[in-house]
Amino acid sequence: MAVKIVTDSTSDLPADLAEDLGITIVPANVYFGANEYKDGVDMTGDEFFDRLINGPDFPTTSQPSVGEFSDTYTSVSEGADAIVSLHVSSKVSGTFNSAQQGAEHANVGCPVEVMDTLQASMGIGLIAIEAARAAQSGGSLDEVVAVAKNAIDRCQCMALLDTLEYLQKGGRIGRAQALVGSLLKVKPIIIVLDGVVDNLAKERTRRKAVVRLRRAVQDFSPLDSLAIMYSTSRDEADRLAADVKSLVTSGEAPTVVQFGPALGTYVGPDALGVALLSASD
Amino acid sequence: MFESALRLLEANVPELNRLNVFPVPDGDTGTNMYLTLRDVVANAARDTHQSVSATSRVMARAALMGGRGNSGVLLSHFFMGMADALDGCDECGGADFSRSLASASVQAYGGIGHPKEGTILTVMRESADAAESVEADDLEAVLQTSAHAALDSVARTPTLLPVLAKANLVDAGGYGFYVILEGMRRHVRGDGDLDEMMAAPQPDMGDGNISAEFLEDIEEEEFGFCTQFLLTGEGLSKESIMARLLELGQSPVVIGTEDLIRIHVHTYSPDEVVAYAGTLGEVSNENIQDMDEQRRRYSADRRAELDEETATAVAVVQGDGLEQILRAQGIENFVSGGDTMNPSVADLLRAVEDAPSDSVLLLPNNPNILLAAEQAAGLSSKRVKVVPSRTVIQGIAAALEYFPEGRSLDGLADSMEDRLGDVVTGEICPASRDAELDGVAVRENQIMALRDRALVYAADSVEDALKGLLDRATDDESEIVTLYWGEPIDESEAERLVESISDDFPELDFELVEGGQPHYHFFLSIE
Repeated sequence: MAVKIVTDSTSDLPADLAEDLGITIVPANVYFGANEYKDGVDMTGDEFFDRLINGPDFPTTSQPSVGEFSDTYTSVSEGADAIVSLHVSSKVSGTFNSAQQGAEHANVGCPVEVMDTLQASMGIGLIAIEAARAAQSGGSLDEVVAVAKNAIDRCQCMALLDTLEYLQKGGRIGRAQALVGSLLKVKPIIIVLDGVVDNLAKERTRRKAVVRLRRAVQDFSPLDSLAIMYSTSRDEADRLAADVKSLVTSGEAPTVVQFGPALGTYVGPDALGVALLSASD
Repeated sequence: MFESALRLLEANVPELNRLNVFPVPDGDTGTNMYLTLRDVVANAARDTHQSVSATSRVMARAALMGGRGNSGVLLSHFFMGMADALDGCDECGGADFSRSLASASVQAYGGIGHPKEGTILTVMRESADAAESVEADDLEAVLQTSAHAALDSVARTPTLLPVLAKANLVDAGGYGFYVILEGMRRHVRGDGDLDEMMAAPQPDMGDGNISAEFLEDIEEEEFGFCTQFLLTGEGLSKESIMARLLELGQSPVVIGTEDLIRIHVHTYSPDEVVAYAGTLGEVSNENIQDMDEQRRRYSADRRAELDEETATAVAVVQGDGLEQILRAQGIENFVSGGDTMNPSVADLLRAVEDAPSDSVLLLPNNPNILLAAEQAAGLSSKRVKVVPSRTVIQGIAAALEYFPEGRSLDGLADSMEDRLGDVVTGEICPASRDAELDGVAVRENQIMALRDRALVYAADSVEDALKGLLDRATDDESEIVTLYWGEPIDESEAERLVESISDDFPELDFELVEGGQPHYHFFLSIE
């Protein structure tokens, strides 16, 4: 008997890593025109970005339905003491809301704790990993929830965008709105702050923007864990991972993952992201 | 007397402007001094006081508010010093005037952080020294001697300031000061053609040796805490405060009147400085910064936690397009001005006071507006930090860092200042006369290419000047060149030029934006 961890596909958590840690991922839905795909299930990341850049339709995403959550909780609850369900910031998505309703409707014999991580992408992923490790080592519901809360407090997620075009089209721009309308081409670095997208920095060239992103990671170090996200430029992500891995005190190698469709729709091609957990004091 | 000085100065504005080291439409010294003195004279004329003492106070106040450009601001220190010396006098005799020249010179040196010789400062000091040697209490004799010494001093400025020697010019501000003394002398003597255009002296290169001691940078290494505050009181003595500050720290600056003084000093013991000031009057607008980088950042962050007030920024800009660019970066308050039109201290102060916040950042975007900006910052009742941007291109680079929410004023100003070095500024404009500068010869009406305000190339066409500039201002690290086209050309011509140069520099990204600046074909931001 144990606590089980559930998250949604906006966490960008790789399937194999999730499986190893016993994390269940509920996929978001992605639409290109009239065609519906399950995030991370029906379509690979590269296929998605190829269609995003070259395809005729701009994709839209929708959160998993209440029914999808309730079905997931029902099946996960078999053999579980409790479920901790960790989701993308409620300030940018209705996923948390769907999950809460799903928990109410689910036919489960154990408590379901639905938590708003106020994060996105591997920010959620790293929090889920912490929670899953606590659960695997036999933590109680309260202990796992406490570990997740603590991780939420130490979590940062930021991304260097090649263009603001996609964030703007997707309508999830938050305070980064201030960056739009600039007559100069800038490479913005955005950060998830209190659950919404905020500005971290602007640079005129990509080289300087990567340096700035690296410096931002350094500002939050020492780190307990680190993930690098990319949309289309894997090499750059690997280089960044190599440059900053020494900041992780455990010596654990950074996880390099591709942005999934949910996030990819907003960050667009050539985005480079970082999620991290600062070391506890 | 000062009206006569103004008339003579007015007649000599073109000559003074000619003395600009750079043959670019640059903060014209003659115009700036003339406008500053004009404000002084206008205020004095309106003044109904019967005593020299009260009127000189009115004039000092007018100069403080009307000071334009570096030379205008230095002239305002001169008037403040004069008002100090004439305090309590009903009339001004020769000895009084001699004393006021000495006080003015001390005030001007004391008012500026890092005084440079070979400028108006030297001319003020040497004319004051000469005046002191006159034994008779005779105003005409004092003016005669000091004006003669001033002219002599002007002729020697190139031996003190290498940039003047290279340009084969005398210092324009110093010469302007001489013209003012000469105008006064002619008035007292009751003769002379006040509309006469006088030729500035030929530089007297003396033995050709530049005095090493003058070239020593007076600026000492900064240490400890940068301590700034306003002191309000009665009958405050700047001299005694300065003397005490010299014991307590380094690089003290003491500006103001006997009721209100702005103090700036670098010290290891800011508490002691503030405690000392507290014995003299009321201390306000305290701003103490640890100059050690790490600790400064810590204290800036600490203040951010304590102070939730968000700063706004005021930028000096000329050109609609450039203003739009700055607006798009979130800057909302503007003062119109630039190379050909330096705003006065009062213009800057008004914009700072009108800004909708108690903490204000001020971007002068021009080296010749820097002092006026600092002066305005010192006079303001608000917390003001000057981000010392020397070009509007630097100002735009700094504005990329303008995220004021939740940031302390000092932290914000520091990170914006850190950005100034990120860009190389290029400028393309026609030469207003023949010159040789930085080893580059240029003929009148040729097109000059400037890199960070230094002449690097001259050509007969804008296209060649652009190419020459890019050859000299880019390296392997350069990625993007933003060109802001100005009034002398139109958009289609600008597009054609960019197309042409991008063929020659395939490794660079070019971006063309409307700047709208007068006189300059292009401003370039190279990064």
